[in-house]
Amino acid sequence: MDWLAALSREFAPDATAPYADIRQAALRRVGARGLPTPREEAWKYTDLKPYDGAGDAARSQAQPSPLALLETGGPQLVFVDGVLDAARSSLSALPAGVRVRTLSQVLREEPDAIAQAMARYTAEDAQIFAALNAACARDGAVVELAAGATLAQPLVVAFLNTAAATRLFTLPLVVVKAGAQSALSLLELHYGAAGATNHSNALCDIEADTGSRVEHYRLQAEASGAVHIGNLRLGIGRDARVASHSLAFGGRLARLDINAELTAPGGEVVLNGLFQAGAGQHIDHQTRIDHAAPHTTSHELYKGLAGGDGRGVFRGQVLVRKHAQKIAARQASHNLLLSPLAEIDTKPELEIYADDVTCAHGATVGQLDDTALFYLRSRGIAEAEARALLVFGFTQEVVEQVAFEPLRNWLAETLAGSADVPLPERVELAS
Amino acid sequence: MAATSSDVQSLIGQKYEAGFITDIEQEHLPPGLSEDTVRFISGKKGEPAWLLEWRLKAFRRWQEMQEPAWAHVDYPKIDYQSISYWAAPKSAGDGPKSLSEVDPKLIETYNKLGIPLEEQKMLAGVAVDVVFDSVSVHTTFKDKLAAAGVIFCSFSEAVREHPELIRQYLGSVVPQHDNYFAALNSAVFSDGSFVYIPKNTRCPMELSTYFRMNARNTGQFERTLIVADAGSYVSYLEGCTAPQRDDNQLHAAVVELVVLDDAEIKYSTVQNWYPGDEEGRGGIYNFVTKRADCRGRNAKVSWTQVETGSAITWKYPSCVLRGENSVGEFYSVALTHNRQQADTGTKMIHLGRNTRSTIVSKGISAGRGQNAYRGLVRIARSAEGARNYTQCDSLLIGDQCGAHTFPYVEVKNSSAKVEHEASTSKISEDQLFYLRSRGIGQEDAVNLIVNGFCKQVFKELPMEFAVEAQKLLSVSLEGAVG
Repeated sequence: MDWLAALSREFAPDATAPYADIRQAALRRVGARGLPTPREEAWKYTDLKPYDGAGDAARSQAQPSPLALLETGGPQLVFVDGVLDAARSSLSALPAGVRVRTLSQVLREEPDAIAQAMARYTAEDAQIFAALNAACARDGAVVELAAGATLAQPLVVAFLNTAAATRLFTLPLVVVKAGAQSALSLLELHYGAAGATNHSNALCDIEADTGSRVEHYRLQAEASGAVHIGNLRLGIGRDARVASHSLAFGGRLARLDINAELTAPGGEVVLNGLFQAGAGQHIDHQTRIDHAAPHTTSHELYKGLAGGDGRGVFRGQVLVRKHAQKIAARQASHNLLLSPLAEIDTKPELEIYADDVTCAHGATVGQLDDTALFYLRSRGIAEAEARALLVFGFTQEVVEQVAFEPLRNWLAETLAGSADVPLPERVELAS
Repeated sequence: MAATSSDVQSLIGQKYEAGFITDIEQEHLPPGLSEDTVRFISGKKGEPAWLLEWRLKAFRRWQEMQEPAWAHVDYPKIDYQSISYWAAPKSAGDGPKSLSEVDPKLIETYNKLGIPLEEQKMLAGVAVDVVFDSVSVHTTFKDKLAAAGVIFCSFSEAVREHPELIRQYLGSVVPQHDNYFAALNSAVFSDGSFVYIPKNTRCPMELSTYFRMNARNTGQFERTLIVADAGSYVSYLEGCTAPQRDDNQLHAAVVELVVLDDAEIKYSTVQNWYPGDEEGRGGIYNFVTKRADCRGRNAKVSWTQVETGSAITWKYPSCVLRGENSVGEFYSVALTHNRQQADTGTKMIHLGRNTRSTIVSKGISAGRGQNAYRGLVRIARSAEGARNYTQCDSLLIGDQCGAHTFPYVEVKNSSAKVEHEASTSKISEDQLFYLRSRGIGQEDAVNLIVNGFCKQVFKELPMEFAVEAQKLLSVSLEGAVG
């Protein structure tokens, strides 16, 4: 399959639509560049060959369904195979100052609303898949919060893929602009039904203005025959705080690049991640935190599980620029190998050009603790159950930081359920 | 170097077209690198045909290779045609005639390091006519080694005396085409050291290049090969704490260690080549390939390095842990000051069962120095029960410097345990304040803290080296805080 030809045929930028020139130029550049190879540092552990071919629909299994998260009654936008599903979408409950539109609507009515994002991702140095999305994206969501606006109930933007899709590619684009002192919680959901073999290329751009608070959850539960490539950029302004949680379970090839830019003093970013790469899966996270301003803080915690012949990849870059003093950066990447054929590659990086900093990172790769396992077994817990309990415990540090309760519950159930183990009830210690 | 490389090449071609190899009086080869250069070097050293072939093969591979650009260092492009690849060992008359002709700054440093006068002369390249201590040391230790059956000689001598050993092991750890600089070295290496420790032998003394006086001025493209046969042990010291006079800017050395069953090699380096001046002019480019191959069961290799010199350091002493239960260790202190750049670290390739490795790296950046740790821990599928512990800490002194960490961790075996931790911070104000309040001067206080920071590595060095390394660090850091 020639992915570029297929993509151009279905999504070539319309010559009469807004941004036609820069979108076409970006697509041409991507075509000229071609897919990155493992010789490039950012793609060292991820071979994109599976991108150039459709998955086996018959063997594409669904992840545990997160569709219950669409029943919470909150505001939501639902896209099925790239097309808005108006019946399942509901934006009636939005408070004043919060504006949510579909991308196609914005392109029709007010293309200027996404001018910054368009300029950024069609630039020459844009990452190839981000550029591809910016060049071809047809629909998605544009979320704008006026100064001081608060969206208490999380907004859900869901991209569902089915086996009946007529197009192989989906290119969801989400643009979020959080005004000064605003607060927002957003769940970006990617789910694929059994038999789906979609190639998703998702791009999300979040700009958090002075003093704003953004909680971003990204749940990726594509079907096991899908390819999912994502880009996420977080622009963090003065005294703003952005927390982004990446929860990745699906896809035969899944990749997410996160760029967090701390551009003004007082900014804070939290990057949490949890991924589970099972048989036949390759899940790659590349994060980059750019401390471009003094007095900025970052916390990063990634937990990885690899089972079957699955492979998990993590690369975490922390950059402290010259004159960006008074920086605190913490990063941790912890991984469990659950089967003899599984593989983990992790690469925590620090690049520091200022001196008044406290930066630390830690990375571990190991297996379940034998003594803990022995303890549980000595208490009469069967081995499989004991292992599942320990895996469950390993993931809790990330799960507990999920403030959106339905999502937290779904995670707990899914993680316990993946080993067919009843969810442990909260044990009260006798005092 | 104004002329282009093709000019130089044609120049060389003309000059040496007809049997230049007979021109044995030639002391320096004019700049330039071609197959003829390689033939000339080999001929000059009277090497056997197989070794010349080996060099030529390396040279041909080198021509097809690209200079690596991934390291976190920045330097003007090297013109390999402007370098002279052969200089006969200097005769006594070449160097300065007395210490008064030597750069007073160098003498000042020697005095701070407490180096005896006669040794100062030797290091500065002053012609020494009186027989002094180390010469007699040299003879007594040769006798002792011979009694134990240890071979310790220059590489050229080994090619003549022990060709079977060289042929068996040369290039078996670092192949000719391993990387750009290793290929260059394989083609044009001048000389170096060869060590062979026979079975079940504990080398009766620490071997040091410092005492190996028969192969001077071979630093530029040095080649070291150490073979520790089953059950043997050797501790090898390379370099010297004192800054050495050297006219060559590019150093591309190769070190190969072969460790067989139950053997152990402890390899300690103190590198203090000329780092260039405050503005980064001059200074050595130190592009070194060092690798140990633990071929036997229970083999052990320990690399300890203190890197304070060179304008640019590019070196990754590595361990291939092939044998069951083999152990690799890497202890490093790297200091960059002024405009020095270092990209250094290690590779631990775990192939055998129950192999273990430890990495402790301490980076100190001061002035405008850039210091990067780059390391790889790879656990292959076959490395059942492998274990790695890595710690790399960076200390920042001054707001113009940089400290970077690029660790690669690749684990393919689910019974392996790999831990990596790293921290970067500036020198603690609290600690400084405490020491100052006890009446300790600013500079001494910094030295104390830095020495404490490096203690974990220094304790791995042979005793007298450790004392010198501490002094060296304080001298190198002079003026960093202020």
